[in-house]
Amino acid sequence: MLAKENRIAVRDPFARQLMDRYIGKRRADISALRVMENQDDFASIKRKGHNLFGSGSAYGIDAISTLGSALEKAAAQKDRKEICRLIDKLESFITHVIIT
Amino acid sequence: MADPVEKKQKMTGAFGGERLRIALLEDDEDQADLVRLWLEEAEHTISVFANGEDFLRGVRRESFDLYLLDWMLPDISGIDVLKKLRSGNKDDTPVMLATTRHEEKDIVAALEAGADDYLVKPVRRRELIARLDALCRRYGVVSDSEELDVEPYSLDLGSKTLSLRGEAISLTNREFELALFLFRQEGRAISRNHILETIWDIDSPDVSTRTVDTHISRLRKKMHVNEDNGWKLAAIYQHGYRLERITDNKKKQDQP
Repeated sequence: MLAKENRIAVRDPFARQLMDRYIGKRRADISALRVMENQDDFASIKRKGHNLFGSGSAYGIDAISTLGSALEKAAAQKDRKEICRLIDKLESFITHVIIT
Repeated sequence: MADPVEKKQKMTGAFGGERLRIALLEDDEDQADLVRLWLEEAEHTISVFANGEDFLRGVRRESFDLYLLDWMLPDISGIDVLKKLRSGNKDDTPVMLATTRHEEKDIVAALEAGADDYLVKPVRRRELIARLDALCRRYGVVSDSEELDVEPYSLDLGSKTLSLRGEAISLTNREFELALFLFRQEGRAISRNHILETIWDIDSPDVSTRTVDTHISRLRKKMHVNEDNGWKLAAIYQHGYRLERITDNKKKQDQP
């Protein structure tokens, strides 16, 4: 599902600012999600997953919606192993995003 | 570099149409930012509220053409906000509910609570704009019609003339636009700021809400808005105005 390099083209400068900020906040999500997982805060993980699902495709990044949806489900089931795997995947994706 | 959220950038939208005043209830900042961008590009104005209580307070203070509500919120749900709008305040502003829920029972619950349309997230730009436009056409917020008949008045949108029982009334362009706006919003309480944004350039420093009062007063006289003609243009304290038909029941209520 996730390529090594994820190129996202944004032409409009104002939308580009929004996209830069969106990706920056997703980077911050990674550490926040790990803290939530350590604290067994499944409700917050569920909410975060829900919001990622709602926003990802709207920003043109389907992979974030897919991961968000999976994270929401894993949190609902309190499946720590799956949550950790999904956080790793999200981190890998965000690390390799290039906005052009 | 300016913060994108704070930046009030107006761009020419691909979808055109009349400027709508939209209240968005969305707790997720990322989604709210994006929807704001899309709607502003389509030349609409948008007020964003991050929780249900703020939204309900906001729509009591101001009037809007349309509400766009998220279902899942941290305080009260979008459905509960909708129920409050429709019951307590009797607010009939068109409502579109946006949510990740897509099962039939959810859609039915939203429509039964008073939603006029339903949008499944993730929201897509073209679909959102098209649905908003369709919703506003359906509820008469905007219209492609060239004439508006509101007995005994008649408005010709092409020539920008207003007649009373066939007799033309001399109005300035601004007065005509104001009359048209009020007739299209018949029965609704419209805030002064809403009128300012729609009829005047909101960014103009020379225009104050007092300008609205002056124009309304002049319009009321010119159009002979009174009981004999079956209409009432009521001032609403600390809010704005409401243009309404005077029915027989209403006349009885108003009698001492």
